Amino acid sequence: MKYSEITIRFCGIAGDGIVASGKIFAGACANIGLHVMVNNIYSAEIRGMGKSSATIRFSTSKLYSMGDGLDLLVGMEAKESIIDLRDVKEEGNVFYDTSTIGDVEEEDSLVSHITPEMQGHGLPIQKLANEATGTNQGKNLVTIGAICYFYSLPPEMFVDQIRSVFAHKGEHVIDVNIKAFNLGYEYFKEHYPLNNQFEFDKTSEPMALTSGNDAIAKGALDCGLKFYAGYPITPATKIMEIAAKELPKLGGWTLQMEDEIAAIGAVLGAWFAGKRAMTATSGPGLSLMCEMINLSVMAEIPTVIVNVQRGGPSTGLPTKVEQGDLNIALYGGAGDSPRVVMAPTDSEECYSGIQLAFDIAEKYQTPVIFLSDLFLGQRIETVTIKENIDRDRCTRKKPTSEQLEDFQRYQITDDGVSPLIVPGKPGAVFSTTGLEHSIKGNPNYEEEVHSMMTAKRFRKFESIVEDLPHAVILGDETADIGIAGWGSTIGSILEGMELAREQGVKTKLIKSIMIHPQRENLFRKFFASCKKIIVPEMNYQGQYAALLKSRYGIKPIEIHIPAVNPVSPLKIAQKIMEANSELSQ
Amino acid sequence: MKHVIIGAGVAGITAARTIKELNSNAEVVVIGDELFLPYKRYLLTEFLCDSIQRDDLLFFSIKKLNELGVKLRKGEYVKSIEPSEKVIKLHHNEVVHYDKLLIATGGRPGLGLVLRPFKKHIHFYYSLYDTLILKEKLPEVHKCIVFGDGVSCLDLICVLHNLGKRVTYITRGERATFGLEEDDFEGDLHEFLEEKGIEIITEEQIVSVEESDQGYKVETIQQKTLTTDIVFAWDFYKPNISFIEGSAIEKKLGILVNTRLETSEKDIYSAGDCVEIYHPSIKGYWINFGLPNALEQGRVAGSNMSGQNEEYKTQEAIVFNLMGTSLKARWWR
Amino acid sequence: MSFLSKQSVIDGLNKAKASKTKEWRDNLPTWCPGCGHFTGLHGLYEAAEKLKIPPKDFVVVSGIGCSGRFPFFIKGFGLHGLHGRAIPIATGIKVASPELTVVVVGGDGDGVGIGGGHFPHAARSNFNLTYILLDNSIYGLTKGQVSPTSPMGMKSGTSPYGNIARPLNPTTLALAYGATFVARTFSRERDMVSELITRAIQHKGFSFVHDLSPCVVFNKDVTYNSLNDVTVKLPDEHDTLNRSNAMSLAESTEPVYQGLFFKEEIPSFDDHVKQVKDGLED
Repeated sequence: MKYSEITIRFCGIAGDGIVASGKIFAGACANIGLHVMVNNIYSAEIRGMGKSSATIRFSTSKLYSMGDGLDLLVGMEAKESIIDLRDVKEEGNVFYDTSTIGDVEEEDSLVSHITPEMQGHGLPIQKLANEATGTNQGKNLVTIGAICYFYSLPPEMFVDQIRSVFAHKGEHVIDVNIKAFNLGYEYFKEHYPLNNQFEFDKTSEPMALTSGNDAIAKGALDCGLKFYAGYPITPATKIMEIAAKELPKLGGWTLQMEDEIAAIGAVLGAWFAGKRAMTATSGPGLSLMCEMINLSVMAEIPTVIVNVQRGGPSTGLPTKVEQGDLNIALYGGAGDSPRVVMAPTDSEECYSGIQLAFDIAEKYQTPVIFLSDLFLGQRIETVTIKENIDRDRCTRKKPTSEQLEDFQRYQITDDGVSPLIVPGKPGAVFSTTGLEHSIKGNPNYEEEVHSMMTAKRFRKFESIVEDLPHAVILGDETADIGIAGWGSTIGSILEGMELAREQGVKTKLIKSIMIHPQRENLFRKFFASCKKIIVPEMNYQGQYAALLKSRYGIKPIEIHIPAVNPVSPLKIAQKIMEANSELSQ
Repeated sequence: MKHVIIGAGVAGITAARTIKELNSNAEVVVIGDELFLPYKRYLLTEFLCDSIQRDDLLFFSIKKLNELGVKLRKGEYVKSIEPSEKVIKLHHNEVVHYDKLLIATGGRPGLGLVLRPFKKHIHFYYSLYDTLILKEKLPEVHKCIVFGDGVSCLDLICVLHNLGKRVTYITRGERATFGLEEDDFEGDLHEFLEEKGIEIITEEQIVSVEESDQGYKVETIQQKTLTTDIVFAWDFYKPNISFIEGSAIEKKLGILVNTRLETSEKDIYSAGDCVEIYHPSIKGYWINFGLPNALEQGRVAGSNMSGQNEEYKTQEAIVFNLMGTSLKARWWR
Repeated sequence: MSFLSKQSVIDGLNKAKASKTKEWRDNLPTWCPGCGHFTGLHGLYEAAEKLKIPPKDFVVVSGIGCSGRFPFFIKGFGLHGLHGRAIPIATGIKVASPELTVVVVGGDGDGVGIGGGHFPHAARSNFNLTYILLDNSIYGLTKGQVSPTSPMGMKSGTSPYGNIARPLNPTTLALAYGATFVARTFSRERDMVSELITRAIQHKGFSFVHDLSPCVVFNKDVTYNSLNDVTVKLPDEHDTLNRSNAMSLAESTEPVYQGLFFKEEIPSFDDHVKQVKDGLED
């Protein structure tokens, strides 16, 4: 068969080199100019018990999601892979190990569950790995070798990548891994000589790879991040690890705190001292941070919080994706507590969006909650990121010399933003508080003061709108079916729209990194032009739909997916088709 | 009652169907070593010549299997059988239990010790997989060498010839007979082939095959060097039953069965090209081949596995059309 | 009930306005007359004056409680944040801008109750912060409930049958957490309070001053008088480099020692950071 796009999943247990497989594949594809997206799914356990899988989709054209269905499932561990057979396309392929030790009962055997439509291919994965490495490692490379032959991919692309991925482990490790790769390749050549063709332009330029987490970290560092404080939490920790490594080189520092409250506290402290700072967390951490978010609102101390959403509530599903934190991001905390909520839709927006988050936070002295998610944060993909490096960037509203003379930290202004000074600079001093306060910052509980100050804090949000990027309308502007989505679900929506278009159904999409505030006029105009509105998202309640309903008075078709896996484009397409048939009735 | 059938060829699939037709509640699992859905092997040559499409090869569709409720497992090998435990073990160490077992694994070409080291340069012409590979290569092939015996070898020579290839046939014998009886063919087969332009080298055998600048270089036992674009060779064609080694199932070249197609072990049956069945007119064990035999043996085995009592009767000989001349073939030794 | 008359407080404040520390004085304190916290505040004024800390570089971070109001009374940058969270906020300020002088002020509930999880980590990291814990063994701002340092048996609104838990001892906690400067003072001893706060700010690393600062309104058990009876100065021969000896003296409840228990000069957090950064430049 001939292919221009292939989706492969490696499935095994933690320690099988599953993640490395994804990494090697991603690097190899990017180097020869293919578009690739890799999604790792693993359990919360570290080794020996937990299931781990890496799904790799590569194509000659741009990818927006993980798509639907697998062309190939590589079952490194039989038992763990059985359930994944349901994701294999009707005539998809399955590789399985014929050299596992010990008897396997029929119900535990991957092979016995393969349907006749699919094609199983056995190879002695464990045995060849042993032969190459002398250890239990190298199973992944054996299967990559087999895949390379199976789809007629150029072996050099993998060999080069093996060299670079294992470079830090020395020549021996490189050699045995290349040997494992070759054994897998040769085994397939001998036993399954009839192979498939992946056709691509061999002169394409190499592409850059990133994950959402990497892009956020890089975006923050490039726009002047000086301080990071955090607490390890899946799936956000990578951002902290990058900050820990890079910040000292740029004159900054990263602190691992004792909990998320301390982390956000330290970040507020750093902003108070005039430094761009941030923390990244996930649902449980964001829950702990709510009181500090309130302080940030009340004392008008800027802050940037990245929340890489995972499945919830509570400790929930630490290694699965969900978009369930929109409500806490929008509303978490006491009192009338406005904050900016942003949600990047892809890795490019992770980079540019986090920079915008810093600019807004600093300029408007507000918390900005940046809602990424596990899928977007951890998936590795080829991207074209427009770098924007300015590490001295500062959008703080500084006082005039006149204002400095009798400095009023909470001066009432038209745009709601008061001038701000930072310690260490001559001119004036001030104290601030989480108590309601006067224009000078002294505690004050009078009714008029509270009304005036609350109004001022909300007025900032009217001003912010002017600084926001426009919402983008994608698809066919003449379509009657409109879709509104947020975060990483947008990728699946785009591919679902394309599937519907192939069926002759036109759709359009309103896409905005801003959840709150929004450029409401653009949304209103968009919704007014739709006969059917669909709002898909990865949570049970329809949190974004609820926001849109109350804000714009629309009655959308809601798709609520309490997800553990990225949304299927097919599912979106089906809803579109349903909406379309309702329209034509 | 769980019926396991090893072999997804005509005999195996026919047995599966028979069992299901007699008892729709029976559990039937067919394990085949080929990667494809059951197909009609005897039509491969037609497919190779493009006289039929790939879909025409299909013997049993997935829909039909599902309707019958037969579970097919493709591309899997049986490693061993333990009749005392009533289990078979597959090559990936999976253990499959059975109540009744049918072995219908057919025959396979194979290489002897001399040629085995050159296996990767040598083609077989047996399965759909072989045919697909051949189909891909054929446009580049002009010269072919065929070394082997049996009717399938003759079949291959004919198809290559019909496709306009130059064919050289190498045989150990003094003449090209393909193991056929004299009265199976009207006339002299050797001369007939030579007249058609087939080069026949007798009393020779291939000892090595190496890659060369122009295809392959073949050396013979008489130290002759030949060049060719492709080499077909097999030293023997025999029942594919190595996995019964170590079990108590009686065999000679094939698995020995009585006319009820029962083997020496309880609840194990065998049918098709892998059995040696007692042949009353010869008063000895013979391997019956050909489609009618396979169909009938599959039916009888399936029926007996379901508790019936049927006896297998030898079917009519099959008739080949060999370049316009008819050829009868009944069994091979 | 108050220890000082209202007039004497006003007199005191007027005197203070004219004093040499007026540069660091801001809003007038709002505490009850007689509150021990006046001494702590005075100590901080004197330290700032003695060390000539420019208000622009002086940051006071506090939690919630009576002691939380410090920032409003001091000229400098102030952050009156969340209950129990002054230490992490101060940490962020100090690590982001090491050139600032950062002092954390909080009470017993704030520091070893709600915020008890932050104290050990600031101490073990040896952040260059000064932490003044004003201990009145009561929740004063909420009008008198037992605190983590209240004695056993103490009756209060939320412990009508007597406090069942044993009190924590912030001085021993600081020693155990690895603080590199640990002192205990009593607000009656104004000079000692001023001196030790000054030395604490001078110290490079995490310095801790546990100031026994009675609440004259709500605490009937821990009072000036009760403390007066038990507090004594540390013996002159006490070796401030001996942490275990300091620990056993700090544990003593009769007498309750005051003075400098422990002080060691090891690289502070800032020193370590500088070393890492210098290493990266090579």
